[in-house]
Amino acid sequence: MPEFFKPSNVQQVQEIVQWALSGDEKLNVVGSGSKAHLDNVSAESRNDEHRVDMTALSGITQYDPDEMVLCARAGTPMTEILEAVTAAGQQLGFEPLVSGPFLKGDGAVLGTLAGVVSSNFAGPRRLTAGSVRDHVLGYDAVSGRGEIYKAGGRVVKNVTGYDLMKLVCGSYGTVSLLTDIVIKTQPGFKTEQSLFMGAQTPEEAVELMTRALGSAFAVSSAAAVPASGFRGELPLSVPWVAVARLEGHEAAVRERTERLSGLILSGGQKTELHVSDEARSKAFWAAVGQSGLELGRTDGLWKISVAPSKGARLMRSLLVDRPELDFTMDWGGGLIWVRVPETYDFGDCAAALREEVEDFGGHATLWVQPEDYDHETPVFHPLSPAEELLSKRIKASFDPECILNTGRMFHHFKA
Amino acid sequence: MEMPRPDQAVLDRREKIAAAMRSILPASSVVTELQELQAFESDGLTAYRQPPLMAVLPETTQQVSAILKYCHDEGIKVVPRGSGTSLSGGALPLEDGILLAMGKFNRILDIDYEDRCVVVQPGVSNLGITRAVEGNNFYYAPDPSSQIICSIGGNVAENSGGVHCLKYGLTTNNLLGLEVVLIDGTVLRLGGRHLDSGGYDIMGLLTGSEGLLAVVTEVTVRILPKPETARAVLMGFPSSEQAGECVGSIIGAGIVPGGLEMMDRPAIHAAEDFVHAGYPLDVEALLIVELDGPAGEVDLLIEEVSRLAGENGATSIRASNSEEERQTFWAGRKSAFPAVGRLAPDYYCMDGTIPRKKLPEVLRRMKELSQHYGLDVANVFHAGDGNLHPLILFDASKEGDLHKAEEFGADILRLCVEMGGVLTGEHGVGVEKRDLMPEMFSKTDLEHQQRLKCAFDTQGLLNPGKVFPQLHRCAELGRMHIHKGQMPFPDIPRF
Repeated sequence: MPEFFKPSNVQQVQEIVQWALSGDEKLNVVGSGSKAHLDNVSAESRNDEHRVDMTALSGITQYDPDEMVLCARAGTPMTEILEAVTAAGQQLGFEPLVSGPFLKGDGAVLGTLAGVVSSNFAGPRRLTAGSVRDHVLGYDAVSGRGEIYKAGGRVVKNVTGYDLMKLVCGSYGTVSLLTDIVIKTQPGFKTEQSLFMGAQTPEEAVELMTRALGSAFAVSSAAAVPASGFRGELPLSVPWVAVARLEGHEAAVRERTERLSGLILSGGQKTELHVSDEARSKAFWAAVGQSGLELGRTDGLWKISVAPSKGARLMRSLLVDRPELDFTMDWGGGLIWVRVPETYDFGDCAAALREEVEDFGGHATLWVQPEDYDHETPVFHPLSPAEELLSKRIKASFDPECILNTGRMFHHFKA
Repeated sequence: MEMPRPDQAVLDRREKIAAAMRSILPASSVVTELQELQAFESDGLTAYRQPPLMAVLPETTQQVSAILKYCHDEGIKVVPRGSGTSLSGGALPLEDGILLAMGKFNRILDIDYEDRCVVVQPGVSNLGITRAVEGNNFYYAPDPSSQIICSIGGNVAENSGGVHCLKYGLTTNNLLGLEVVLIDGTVLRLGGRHLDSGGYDIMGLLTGSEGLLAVVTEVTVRILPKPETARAVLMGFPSSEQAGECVGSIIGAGIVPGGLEMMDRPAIHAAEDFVHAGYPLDVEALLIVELDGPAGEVDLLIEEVSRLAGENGATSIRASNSEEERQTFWAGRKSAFPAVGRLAPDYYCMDGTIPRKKLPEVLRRMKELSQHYGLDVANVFHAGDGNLHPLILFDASKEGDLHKAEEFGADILRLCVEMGGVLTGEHGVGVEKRDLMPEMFSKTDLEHQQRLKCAFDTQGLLNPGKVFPQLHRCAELGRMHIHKGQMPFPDIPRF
C-alpha cells in the first residue's frame, strides 16, 4: 500500500526520505497538485508511489519589503505570498501565472511557492523581467540522500558557491525536497497600459513587437494574437493584433505609451492603434498568460519556445499540413501556444511538431494533454544525448538512489 | 593559502605534455618559457602568484575539446583564464596545471537585433559587446568596473555584476545561450536565442561556477535598448543611517534606480581629491542615484528622489543637468579604487553583501576592527543591493601588513555573514574566500555542492583549489550510509 505523508517540519521530511532510502521506496513529491500533469510518467503509475504532500510546510517566515526579500515555507500558497507583497506595495520579481485554465477547470489555481519554483514558469513579463529562476535567492531542502542542506542566501546579491537555485528551479522536485525558499521582491508598478497595434499577418505582428521592444520606452511584455481564436476581447478588428505593455509610474506610462504610438505611426505603414486603460490591459495579459486560447476537453496545448524572429515562420510551417491549429504568440514571438484540436491524430501531430520545432532551434512542452492522452508522447522535450547524460549525473549527485519524482522530466531510473 | 600539492609525476612529464599540446595547437600557441609564463602568474588578486606548468592559447572549440580530453585522459589539471581580472584569484595558475588562456576567442559572431541578442566568443570584452551595438542604440547591461578588459567568458564564470545590476540583473539574468566543453572533451550547447530551455538549467548552474565545471567557448547574451536619457543626483548626508533610510524610502516609493551607490567619508574625500567631481566634503555619506528612461519620466523621478532625500535629512542635493555632468558624478565613484589607492601603497578590496538595514552597524563594527588592526578602511557600497566593497589600506612592503589586511578582510566577511549576509556579492570565492566558506555553509551544504562538481568532473581536474576549502575524492563524497531496516519508521501525519 502506498503511504501518504504530510510532513510539517524539515525533520519529518528528512525522516521520510531516510525511510524511503532504507527500503528502496519511491516518493512522489507534491504541492497543491496544480502542475501534476506536467509529468512524463502517467498519473496512474504515480499512484503506486508514496506521496509526500508538502502543503503543511506553510507560511511566510520573513518579509522585509525594504530589503526586497521574502522567505516562506515551501508549501505556502502563492495567493498568500501575493497578498502580502501587494499589501506592501510590491510585486514579485517574476510574474506568477494562474494555472487554473490549463487544468481545464475554472479555479484560479496559483499553486504553492515550491510548485512555482519547481516548474519555473512565469507569465508575459518573463520576456523582460526574467523567470522564477532569476528571482530565487536561496533555499533549504532535504536531498535524495536524506540530508538537510541549504543553498544561496537571504540577500539580493550573492555569488557565494554554486548557484543551486538555478538547478531546483524547473527541476520538478527531482533533485531535492524544498522546505524553505527565499525570493526577491521589488517595488510594484503603479499602473499599466497597453498599446494594441493592428496587423494583417503574424509576420507583421512580430515586426511590430520587434519595433516596440527595440524602442527606448521600456516595453515590458509583447504578445500577438489572432482576432479569431483568441478568447479575450480585442479593441481592433484586424486579422492579428500585436500588443505592447507599458508599466511603471502613471505619468511615465502615459509618456511612454504616447511616444511609442508616435514611433509606430512614423513607420510609414498605416497601423491601426488603440491604447487600453489599466483594467483592460490587465485582463488582456491575464488571458495571454493562460495562452489566450479556449481549450476543450479533447484539445491539447503545446508551449513552444523559439527565437522570437522565428516564431511567425514556425507557425506558418506548422499550418501547411494542419490548417486547423490555433496559435497565439507571447514573449515578442518567442513563446508560441498551439492548440491541437481532436481533428488531428495527436501522436502524429506531436511528432511532426517536435521535429519542426527542433529545426527552428526551439523546444516544445506538452502543456495541456488531451483527454485520451496515453503518455506515448513525452510531456517534456527530449534532451540531446550529451545533455541527458549530464542531467542524469547531476540528478544522481543529489538523489543517488533515484527516489524523488523518478522519470518526471526524463528517464532517470537508477542503473 | 595552501594550494593542491603539485603532482611530481605530472611535473616530470612536462616535455611530453608540451609535445602533446603542440600536436593539437600551433607551436606558437603553447607557452613553456618561464619568462613568458610570468605574464600569466597572477590575476586581479595580485597577492598570489604562481607560474603555470605551461599556458596554451586555443582558438577553436575543437582545440579546447582536444586539450581537455587529453588532460582528462592523462589526469592533468586545467585552469581556465579569460582576461585575468578576477579579484578573488579565480584564474590563479597551478604549478602542475595547464593554463587555458581563452584570449584568442575574440570574435563577435553575430549581432541579431530581431532577437535582441549577440553571439560572441568568450574572449570578447564586456564593453566590446556594447561597443558593437551602441550605434543601433542597444547595450549589454552588466557593467563590472573592469568592463574595458574583462572578458565575457570570465563574466559567465564569475556571474559578474556592476553598478547597474539592481535594475538590470547580473550576468546570469542576461544570458540566453552557452557553448561549453566539459573536462572529458564533450561539447555541449545550452539555450540559444530563445528563453527557458527544457531540462535542468545547466546554463544557470555553470554561470558563476568559477571555472570548476566547464570551459565556456561561446556566449549568447541579450542586449537592451539604451535608455533615452540618464541623469544622476548627488546627495550628501550627515550620517550613513540617514543615507540608508533614504535608499529605503526610494525603493519604498516604487522606484528602482538604474544605479544606486553609496560612499563613506574616507572614500568621498579620496575620490574628490583624485577627480574633483564636486562631491560635498562635509558629509558622512554620499549617495549617487541614477535614473534612466524617457526624458519626462526621468525629470519626474529626479524630483521625487530629491524630495525623499530632503525628507531623510540630506544636506546637499545636486542633480546632473548635462551628460557631461552626469559622467563627472560617476567619475568619482568609478575611480574610487585608484583614488583610495593613492592614500596608501596598497589596498585590498573586499566584497560582502549585507541586508541593507544593517549598514550602520556594520560600518560601526568595521571602524572598531580598523582600530584593532591599525589599518584604515574606505567604503564604497552598491547601496541598492547591499553589496559592500570595503577597501583596506596597507603597505605590502611593511612586514606583516599584508597578513593583517587579510585578517581584517576575513573579519569583515565574517561580520557580513553574522549580519545575515554573504561572503561575496560579485567578485567570487576563488582562492581568496575559499577558506571562509565554512562560515556560511555547513559541511553538508558544501558536500552537496562538491558532489555537483563530481557530476561534471570526477577527477577534480578543472580549476582545483578554488571555491572549496577541502578537496575530497568523489567516491568518498558519494558514499551513503543506509542502514536497512534500522531507520525509525517515521512518525509523521499520514492519511
